[in-house]
Amino acid sequence: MLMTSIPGMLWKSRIDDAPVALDSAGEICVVVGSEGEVSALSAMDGTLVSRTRIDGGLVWGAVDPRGRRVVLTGPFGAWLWEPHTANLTSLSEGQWCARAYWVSEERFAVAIGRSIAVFNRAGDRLWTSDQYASTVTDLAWLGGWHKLAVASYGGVNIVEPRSAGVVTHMPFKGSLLAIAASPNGRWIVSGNQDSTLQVFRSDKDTRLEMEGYPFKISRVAFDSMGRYLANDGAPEVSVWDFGGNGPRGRAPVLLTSATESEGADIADFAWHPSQPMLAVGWGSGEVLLYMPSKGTEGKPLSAIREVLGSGPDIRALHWHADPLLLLVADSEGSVFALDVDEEGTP
Amino acid sequence: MSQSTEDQRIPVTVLTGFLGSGKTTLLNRVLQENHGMRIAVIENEFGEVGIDDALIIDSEEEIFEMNNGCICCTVRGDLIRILGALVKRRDKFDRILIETTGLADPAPVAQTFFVDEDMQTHCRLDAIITLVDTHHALEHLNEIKPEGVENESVEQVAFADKIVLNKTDLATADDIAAVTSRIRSINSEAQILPATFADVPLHEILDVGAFDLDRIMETDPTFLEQTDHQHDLSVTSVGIECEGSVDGDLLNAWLRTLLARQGTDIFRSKGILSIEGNDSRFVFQGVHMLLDASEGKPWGEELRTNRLIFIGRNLDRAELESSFKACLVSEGL
Repeated sequence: MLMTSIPGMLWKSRIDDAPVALDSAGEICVVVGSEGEVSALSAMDGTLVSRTRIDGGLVWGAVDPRGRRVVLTGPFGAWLWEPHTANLTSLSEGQWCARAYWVSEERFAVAIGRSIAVFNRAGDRLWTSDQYASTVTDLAWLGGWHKLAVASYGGVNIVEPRSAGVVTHMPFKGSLLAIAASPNGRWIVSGNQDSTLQVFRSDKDTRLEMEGYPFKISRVAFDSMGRYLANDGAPEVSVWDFGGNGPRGRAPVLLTSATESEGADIADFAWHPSQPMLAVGWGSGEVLLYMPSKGTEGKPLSAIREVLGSGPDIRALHWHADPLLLLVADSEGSVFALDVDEEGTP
Repeated sequence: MSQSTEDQRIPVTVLTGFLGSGKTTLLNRVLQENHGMRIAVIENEFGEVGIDDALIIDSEEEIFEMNNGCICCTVRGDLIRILGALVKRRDKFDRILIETTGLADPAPVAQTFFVDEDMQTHCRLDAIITLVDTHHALEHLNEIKPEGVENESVEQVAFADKIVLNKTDLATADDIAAVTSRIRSINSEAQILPATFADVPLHEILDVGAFDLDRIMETDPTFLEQTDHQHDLSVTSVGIECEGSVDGDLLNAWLRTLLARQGTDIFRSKGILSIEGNDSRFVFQGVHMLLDASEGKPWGEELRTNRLIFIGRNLDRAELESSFKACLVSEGL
């Protein structure tokens, strides 16, 4: 662990890999590296708790709500890792596994090639879907563990693992890259290869298309209350207001980097666990906080990384809920935790 | 010399070829020879090649139509996903080689690099290499398909930047000449490399900058020269060369109209053009309706000469030449 004098920075650590994902819960923070190195750090002080390695690289990691288990996914499979016991269980091998999400400390779902599967916390497979038209790129739990929204080429499927069936197919002729569901399950939004945002109403057969983005949209996320949705696809982060009847007829708030310099592309963003506050990491090395609900016209509340000057580009962000910390990983493998108050001041 | 001194993007080689043409043999050579290059391989036919310590990723071909109104615009979703993950491990390899199945249409692979901005930022399509089994080539190339069904072998030759004429040891000199002539009738521009057991020098097929027309012109100034071809064949090449400069607006309108009308039939297009008022070359390449254009090196004192090539079906040389020349604002001296 390296000591640092940056205001608000509680600890700084380092991994020997380029981070691609960051997640935390309980007492651990897990950093997933592109080469397959996985480090579990203490969320309190950044010290190394445990480390493992998956040959062939990784693309994602998800920590269970208690911080006891981690699901890892990559080009060659999915694994369940218990950092405190170093136990590593293979969930699937030989297939591209894009994403995994816990719905509780008992259940998680994994995208496995063209299908999805639900497991219990011991790694026993409880249910496997049919094969979809293409590799599943993302999925989202719709409250409880009753329903899942599944994104693959051709649209979103809502499935019920317990009754083993497809509830609804919401078609869209395009390649879906990421989806997000509002906490009440009413809205499902996909970011797409064709640079559009598709907004589906799960309780009605309607679809709204937001177009005009210059780039593909590969990140979408609702805030904890489901009021705001953030997405990339442009030099600015768009934040849509889903209050009332949704975003139709409303313009998004556009969040810009502080420098608006070349290379200030969006690296990652993450919503605060309870406030409508968005942390955005930029390719320029800045980490900025925004509160779209306060009418800040896209201006950041605070610029955490600016105090460092031009740092390495940010790769991943995550809010640790208790105690509240903003975790940041950059392209050089540095991982640091920032103490941020409710006003967004580090 | 490697192009990487100028362009830091990862060079990507696409290896295509007829069934049984020797792709696996060539892949094994790429993986096993002590060439000093670190190559990540994306392969369709899982399990046929493999060696410890090599980065080999299995890929199930997923062709997606793009929702952009272009009927021939398709991309490989699997490649976007895999290459997106690979570029995050950039320091572990120098080159990427994509192997396609024997019946694959190369267009979606090439178009992936034009359509996806991340691919354009981090990767550059270096060359499409097509392996041909000399002994069976004519049988494949002359096969009459039912109406509406493409002859994939012809398309693979049409798309190629370089063609490895493999298994020449199993063919007579007359056979080789006949196959070469047939290939030339489809694609007059591609370099043909004879080989046995796919023993083509690797520096001839990896990081060769075959999509870089400026570079090709430096090493092979005759590559656009017209060759004899048989007019009764549906897939042919048309090269155009004329001195002078073109009006940028007229050129844009011409290309837009041409590709809108004939984009489905035009497999590949490439050109180095002189735009009136612009000191540098205008370099473009296209796959069907999709074009990728950039500014090339300055003309300097060199005679401004426009060079274009189209490879596709039912091309009308006279019409292409006359319509292009209508864009000229100044004829060469």
